[in-house]
Amino acid sequence: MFRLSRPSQILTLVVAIAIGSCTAAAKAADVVEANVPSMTQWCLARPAAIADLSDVTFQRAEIAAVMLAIGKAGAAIGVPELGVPSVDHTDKIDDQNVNVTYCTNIDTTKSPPVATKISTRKRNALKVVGKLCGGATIDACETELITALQGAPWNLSPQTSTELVHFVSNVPDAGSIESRIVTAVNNAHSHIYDPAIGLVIVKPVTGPQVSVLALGLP
Amino acid sequence: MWRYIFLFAFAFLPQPSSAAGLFIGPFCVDGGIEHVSTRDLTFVNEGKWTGIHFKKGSGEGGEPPMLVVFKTVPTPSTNNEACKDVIEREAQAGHHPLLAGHIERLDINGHAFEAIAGTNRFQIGAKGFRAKLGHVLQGSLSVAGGTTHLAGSKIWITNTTPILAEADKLTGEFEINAWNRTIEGAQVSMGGAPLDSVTLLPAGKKGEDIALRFDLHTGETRLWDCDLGANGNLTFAAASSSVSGLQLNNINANFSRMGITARNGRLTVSLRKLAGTVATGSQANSVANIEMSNAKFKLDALRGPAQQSPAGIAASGAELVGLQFDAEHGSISGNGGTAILEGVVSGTIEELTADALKADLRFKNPASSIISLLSGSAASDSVNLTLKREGDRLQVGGLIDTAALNLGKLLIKSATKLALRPATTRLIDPPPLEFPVDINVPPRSGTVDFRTEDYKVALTGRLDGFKLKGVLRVPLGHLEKTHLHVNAHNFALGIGAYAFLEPVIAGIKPTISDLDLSFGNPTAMDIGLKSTGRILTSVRAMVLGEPVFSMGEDGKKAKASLALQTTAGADLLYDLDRGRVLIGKADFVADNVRFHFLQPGGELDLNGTRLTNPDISLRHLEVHFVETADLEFGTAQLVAFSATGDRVYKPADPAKPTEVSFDAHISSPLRIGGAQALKVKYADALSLEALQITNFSFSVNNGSIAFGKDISVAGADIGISASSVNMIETNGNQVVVIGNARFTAKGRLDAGLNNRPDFHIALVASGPAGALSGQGDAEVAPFSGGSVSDIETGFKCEDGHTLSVPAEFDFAMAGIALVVHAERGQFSGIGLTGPTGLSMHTIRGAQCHNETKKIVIVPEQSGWTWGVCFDPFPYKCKWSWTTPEINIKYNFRFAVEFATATVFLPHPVFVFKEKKVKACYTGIAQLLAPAFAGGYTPQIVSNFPGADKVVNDILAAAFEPFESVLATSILNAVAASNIINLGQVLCYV
Repeated sequence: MFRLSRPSQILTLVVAIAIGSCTAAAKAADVVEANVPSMTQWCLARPAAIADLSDVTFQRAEIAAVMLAIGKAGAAIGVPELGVPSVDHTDKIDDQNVNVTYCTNIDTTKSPPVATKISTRKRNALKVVGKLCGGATIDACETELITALQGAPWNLSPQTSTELVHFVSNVPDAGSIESRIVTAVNNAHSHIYDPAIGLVIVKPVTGPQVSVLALGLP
Repeated sequence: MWRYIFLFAFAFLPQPSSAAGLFIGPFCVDGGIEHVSTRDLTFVNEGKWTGIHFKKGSGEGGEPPMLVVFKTVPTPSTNNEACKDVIEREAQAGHHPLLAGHIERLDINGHAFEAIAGTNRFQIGAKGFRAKLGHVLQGSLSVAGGTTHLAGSKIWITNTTPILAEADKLTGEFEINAWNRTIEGAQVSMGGAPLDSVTLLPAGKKGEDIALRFDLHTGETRLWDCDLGANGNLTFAAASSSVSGLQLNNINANFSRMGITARNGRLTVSLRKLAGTVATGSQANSVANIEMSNAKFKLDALRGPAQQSPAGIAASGAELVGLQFDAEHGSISGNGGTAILEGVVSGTIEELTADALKADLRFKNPASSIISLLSGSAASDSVNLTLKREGDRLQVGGLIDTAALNLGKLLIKSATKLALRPATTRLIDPPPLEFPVDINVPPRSGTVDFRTEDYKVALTGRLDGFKLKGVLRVPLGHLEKTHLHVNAHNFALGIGAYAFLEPVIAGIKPTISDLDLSFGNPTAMDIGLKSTGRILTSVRAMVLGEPVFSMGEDGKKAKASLALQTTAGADLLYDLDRGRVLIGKADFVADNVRFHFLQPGGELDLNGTRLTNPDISLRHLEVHFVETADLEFGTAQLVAFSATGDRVYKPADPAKPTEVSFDAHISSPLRIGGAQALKVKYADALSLEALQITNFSFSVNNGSIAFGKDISVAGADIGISASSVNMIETNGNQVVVIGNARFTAKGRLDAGLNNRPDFHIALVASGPAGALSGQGDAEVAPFSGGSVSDIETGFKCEDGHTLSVPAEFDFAMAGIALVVHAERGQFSGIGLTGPTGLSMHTIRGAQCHNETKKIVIVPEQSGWTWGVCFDPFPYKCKWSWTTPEINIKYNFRFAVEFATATVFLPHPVFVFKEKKVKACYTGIAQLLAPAFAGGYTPQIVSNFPGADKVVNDILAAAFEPFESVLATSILNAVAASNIINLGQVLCYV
């Protein structure tokens, strides 16, 4: 049996927001290290065929299903907003199937309804290196950030720096870079469950937004 | 071929009277050779020239001296060999000498070149080699595809061109004079056709002397100066061959002698006493195309120049001498391919060369597409031609012997001989050959047939004399234009006891009072492939009884119970080319006649008014023919014409929709005060056309009449009269023009109304039949109408069409008086009445929805997060996520379930036009007491709460209320209706 768990020596957290601004673009070259406090997360395990996990359509359907389950559960206790789920770890069922555990940030101390089989946990505090991506594509932004990590003061090896984890979110373009990085990593408000339509959608926002990319340091 | 030469003679000059052979290239000379001198030493940069002279010595017994000519340079030997030793040694190797013999005389005078570096050579100038072989031991030469054997002969050899012997090449030519030699297996061809292989023997002026030329380099031998021949039963067979410009195919002939003459290398081949057959023969030149097929022939000689090669002798361009032939078919044609003469042909050609011709041709029972003089119907007919050509001059004469003469379609059956006195012309830019023709046939010596265009005998009679003076013109190079030219008044033909066998005038056989007819030619005639000319006869009186008659351009022809008689004499002409009897001059009359068609289907066309199966009364009819240019037409005048019939009608013509048309059984006679026919045809019927009618009138009961496409009355009593109805021609079109026409009709109006109200109309109009203009009045009894019309709502359905609702409009009116107008074929009746209302209601409901639109509330969004992949162990990888689009899809359904209203017209004007009644209006129309059921219904598909409100807001803002839309649509539909036009003030002006 194998198991992936956080924190890991190679785990990196990435949050990226697709919407940028001219101001954010001017700051895109800045790479900042930040300490991210611990965060409440709701987790949900779902069985999956190993063969399906490489299929993009399956991946999108799984993330949508997890968001919908957690969004519904949160709404049931008055917390309809949530972050973007990511895979936390997998547990082998047999040679062809695994249980995939997805976790997402949620800004509440309440517990989800029992019937939902959603578990609650506290994610540990993290040290991350982040960057405001501005108008650059996430891939270009990632390349710049990994290049920076391979230099002083982090001096990560190329292999280590390219095995880092990514998440995607966006945050209001206000405050210090460090604060925006922290907000992005712990973002529990990027999506919202709309009971009227029964769907999780991106939460409508106002004001300038910036995309943030952060990598968790080993 | 001698490719090599062995030149050691220069280094080892022979000893006088040596028995050892001396080699000069492939020549070996031995026995008693004397080296007379070495002289003329000449030094040049490359070496040294030495003059050398050999000759045969006086002889001292032993082996006689020998000259041997090998094909190639013999293999050198270290032994001291005589020439005969070399012959034996080479023979063992299979190399036999071309020539070997005992030398009686030898004289070689040449120069040897001794090269410092390079090739030695030996040169003998022309005539520098002279030898006489008293007895040839060996020697066979290939010549003319055969072989001549020189062994046993005495020959003389000399070189006609310089001999140059080099290491690998020998050039020069020997002339060999021999005596009494034959050539076995000689191969000779004539015109590309190989003849039998023959043995040629000396014959002719040269006796037994034969001169040959032998090329030392190529080894080829040519006949140079000799007369040779071969006798026997020889054959000449060729698939095709050209002889004297004649292209012959499939020749099979035998001949008894072949002769070949050589003079300075130029050969002539002659074949003598040939006899055989040829499948086809032809010759095309600038004058004519001559062809024959399946011919037997005898030929004195066939002679032509020839080329010689090692393969044989090929003669070409042969010319014939003394030809007699008998062909199953032969023809002489113009370059266009039309035969001037064709038939069985025989003849003799004494001479036929490029510059000369002397021939007699005899065509038996010939036919001609050009000389229509020949009837081709009698086996005794013949044409003899004598042709003689010397250089550019051609003389032609002959005799035409025919049982009948064709003059176009006129056939004179009387045996006639026409001698063609020899006429001469040149061949370059030739004027026509002209042969005077003078025919004088006595009376009662034959018959005459006047034939129709399709060669039926229309008139036949006894030949009562025939005279013709003319000239037969034959344009060389344009034989198809050959014709007999007869000047005016040089033709006279009398016929008696004649009879018409086919209709010739007005579809009948005329009756002529004269017992005999005399024809002359008032104008010149040309008789040939295309004949021109007419012959004329004058008769005292002529009657056309029961002619095929028609009246009007579209009248139907039928035989009529009418007889027309000339008032005086008449001139008749016969067109030689067309076979037509034409009326040159005649006046026919018929007075106080009543006639009808004797055949069913007869119908008059009085400039558009048709009268079927008419019974016609006529006070006076006269038809005039004067000598117009084409003699195809006359004129006619009719006085006091009246007719009854089964039916009178004027059919509606879709191409002329503005004309008045009618159809009825006639109730009182159709009358015409008078009429002129400006064009009277008579070829197959007496057809009166281009009528100019005055005082035309008729009336009918229970008929129908349509004023163009506008007003139609049925079950009517109709009266029509006009002061004139004339057919005129403008710009090539025929138009009927009517003057002061009065139309009255009392019947029932056919205008698509609910009822067919009583209607009376009286109209006076004039102008072209399709564009009458005038005015009148009418009355219409109470009527009601209704119509189904679609109401266009203006609501656009999803498929792009506008929603329409079928509705019915109804109205009812009291009788009114109308003013009738005719304006260039547009008829209308206009009547004023008081306020009225039109009742409207929909027939059934209609609905559709418009195009579906989409409003996006939240667009689809995507990003990526951290997932897991396996390969084969799990590792972190990027996954993407999406959130769905939030939108509203909607459309509007528009439904009209029912609508009813009254359209109120305060000041209507009713217009009767286009076979409908229109209510025109000059003020404001109103809808009274409308009642509508229906409306808009939103159709929404959305995942967004509150979509209903959004869509209803759009509906309220973008769409006019249902009732308003429908009311406007009804008024618009009424305005566009075929029944009523609202607000169109101009509709009745």
